[in-house]
Amino acid sequence: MTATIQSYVVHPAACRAAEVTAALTAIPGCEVLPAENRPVLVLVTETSDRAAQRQLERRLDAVENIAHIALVSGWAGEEKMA
Amino acid sequence: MIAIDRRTALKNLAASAAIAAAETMMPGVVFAAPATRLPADVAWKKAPCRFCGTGCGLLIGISNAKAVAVKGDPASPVNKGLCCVKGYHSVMALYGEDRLKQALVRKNGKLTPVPIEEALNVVAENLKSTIAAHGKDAVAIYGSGQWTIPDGYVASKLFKGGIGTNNVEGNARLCMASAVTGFMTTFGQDEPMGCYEDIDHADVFVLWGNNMAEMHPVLFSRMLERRLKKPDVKIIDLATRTTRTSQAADRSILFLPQGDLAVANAIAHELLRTGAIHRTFIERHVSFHRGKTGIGYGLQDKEGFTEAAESISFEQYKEALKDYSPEKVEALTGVAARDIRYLASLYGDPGRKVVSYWCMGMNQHTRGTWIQNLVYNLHLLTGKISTPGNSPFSLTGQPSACGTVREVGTLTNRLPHGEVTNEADRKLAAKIWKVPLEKIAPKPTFHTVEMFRALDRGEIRFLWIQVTNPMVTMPKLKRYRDAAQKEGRFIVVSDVYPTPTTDIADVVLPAAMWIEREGMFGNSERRTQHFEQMLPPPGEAMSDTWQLIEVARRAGYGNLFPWTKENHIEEIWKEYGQFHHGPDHEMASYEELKKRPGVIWPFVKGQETKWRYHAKYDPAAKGDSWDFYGKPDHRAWIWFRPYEPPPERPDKDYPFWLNTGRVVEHWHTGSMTRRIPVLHKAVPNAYVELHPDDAKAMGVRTGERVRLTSRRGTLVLPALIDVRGRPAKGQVFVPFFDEGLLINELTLDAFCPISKQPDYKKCAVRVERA
Ligand code: SF4
Repeated sequence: MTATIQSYVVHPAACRAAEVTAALTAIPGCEVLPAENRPVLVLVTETSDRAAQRQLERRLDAVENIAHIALVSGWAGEEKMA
Repeated sequence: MIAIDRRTALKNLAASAAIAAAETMMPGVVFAAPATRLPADVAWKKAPCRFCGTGCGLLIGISNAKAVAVKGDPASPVNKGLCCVKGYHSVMALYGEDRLKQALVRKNGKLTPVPIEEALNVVAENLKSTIAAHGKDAVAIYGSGQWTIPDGYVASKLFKGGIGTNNVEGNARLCMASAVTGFMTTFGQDEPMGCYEDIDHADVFVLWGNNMAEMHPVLFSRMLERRLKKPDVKIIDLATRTTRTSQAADRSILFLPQGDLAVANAIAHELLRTGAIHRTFIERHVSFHRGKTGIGYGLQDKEGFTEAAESISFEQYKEALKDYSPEKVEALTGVAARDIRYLASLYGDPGRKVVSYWCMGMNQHTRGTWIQNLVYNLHLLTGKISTPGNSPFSLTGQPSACGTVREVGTLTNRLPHGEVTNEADRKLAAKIWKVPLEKIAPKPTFHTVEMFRALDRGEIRFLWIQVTNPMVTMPKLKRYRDAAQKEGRFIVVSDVYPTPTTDIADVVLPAAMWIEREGMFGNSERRTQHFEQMLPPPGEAMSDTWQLIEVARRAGYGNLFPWTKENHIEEIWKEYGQFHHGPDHEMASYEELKKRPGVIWPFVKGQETKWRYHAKYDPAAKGDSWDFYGKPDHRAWIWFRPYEPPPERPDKDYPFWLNTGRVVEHWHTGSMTRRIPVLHKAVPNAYVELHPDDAKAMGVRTGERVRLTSRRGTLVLPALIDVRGRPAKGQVFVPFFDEGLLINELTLDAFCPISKQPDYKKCAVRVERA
């Protein structure tokens, strides 16, 4: 099993931040941290294996009203920090 | 499977990194802290960031003897809670799979694991036998601007005070030696007069060959934030290559390599022509000088240089600048005369405060000392110096290039206070170190390039390398790699991961990294920051300080280091502080450092000195205004320095300029950051940036292979066109972090004859489709 944790910066389309936040929050394994003063979100995702990761990526692709999404950080595979 | 608390830690790190990225793109954006997932027992401890010379204050979350989270320290005046992508991933660098945990000794040609005690014995025996067979100047230590202050102090004391050789150098010679000689020649004292708080007061920022967006991203964010708050603030990017910094600047001005010398003189010419100078300041606080010209490039072994300064009048200085009219300089440098006039109007406007920033573009320069002098001239002609928002400011690359190399003096010519050539400075060192005065040699020996040349020639036989990776970073690399592998050379390397430098070692000592030991770093703005030991080092890894002490004890110098494992950092700090007593360099006490998120020196009567050389802010300054007390005449020196060409220029065989440098994701040679998966994935290998017209003419697209050839070597790399930076036509850029694609096989070991710092920014190459 290859667990994966990733983070993204998400720029919703103009005036669509609330909808994008709701859509992303509804996807299992997604945690959304909206900025308090700008229409931008940080998205942290977690999946337990490759298939789940692929599925999550497909669901992210399907979310509407995302103007731009950038992968920032990721961690995949076995425990490396212990 | 990731365990629950580790999973939480990784999620926090991932979230923090994305927040950092968003903050860099949008200064002022606020997120709720993602700290809610952390284990209840997490303890937050302060440390300066391990990476660049900005010296951001971090809070490291420790739980169950593991670093589990990082955040910017809101109490740190440096970064005010901000952090860049390297800072957020910094603790991951502790946990790479191939961390060195055991000592290695070469046996029958192979590096073989041994107990660390055995390795330390081998090092001490070889140190002693080399001195016995070849003399004290046959042994050397090569350290780093990533050495902690105690590491550098103990190395200097052992080699200069114990063994009696000045064979002590740090890799900061490769990154900021020209800044030191620039400060010394203009002001008589090293390090910037201002501090980062200048950002909050300045109206104009002129960046001289300095890609701050990638190299000092947190300071860059602070600068952008200043412009957001005050929209008439101007950021001018003066460079040889278009970068992310240029894209954010109000004006991007490109000059031909080495053209900065002429551009600076042309700005001065224009200031004088228009009368936009501060006459009273000049009359009272400045004197004029010129030095030798045609000073060479250090290309031959043992090439020496001695400056001969001559005083000149203001009129003579003005006359000397006659050749630098904006029109003439436009032809030489490619910078439009109107842009030169614009720059002069910014420097010369009495209503605007100006900060000049620079880093490697001006430091790694065969006329590195001169270009620093010339930028100081602009601030001195206009009186824009040593007051909030008026600052010529040399940024350092490494976390303790200032603290360890410049302040402790881990360079062949330096002592913890002053120069080895100065008897009073030697006397002070002998007194504090309790060694006979004769022990401290009065002559410098080898600066870095010459140290590796001496290794090649066989004058140096024993070399101990700590916290640096010269088998990636030395220019004209092949000569020095071959030198290190010659018969009869003994190389010790202390590091945290295997590198091309550990590959050529006879002994490898595993080092404790950063927060696995106690220490201090000193950043670009004279801020000293303490960090405690937060974690146990892995396996038999040991701090560089303690490795030196262990070897010193075995080699008969134990009396110099009468400290215990528990108290040695505190005792070192107290002893070292004696070198800097007095209002011009007083350091904070150990207790004070432990309490605060760093302290700027001079620290006098509980107060930091944020601006030096002005009586309003600096207790060492006399009178009621500026006092440049570093010089005997209490005046800052304006130097006339001419334009001189670099030693190697494109010609018909090698028609392109090669420029080398860094990327935001990687720290120097990548030995740590390439082990952080996300940073490695972001930029997994080096590449060559080409101008799109050059790429088109060659029929090369992004990802296709390109061969670069210089007179010293050849290298095939993938091309990158308009993805990150854009070199000017006829120039290429290659980052140096990749040990698999060593660009320093091609670079030239020419250096500034005054600072001895090599120029990694200019040499000639041929560029072909591979
Ligand atoms: S800007 Fe430099 S000091 Fe600050 S977090 Fe990034 S690498 Fe560390």
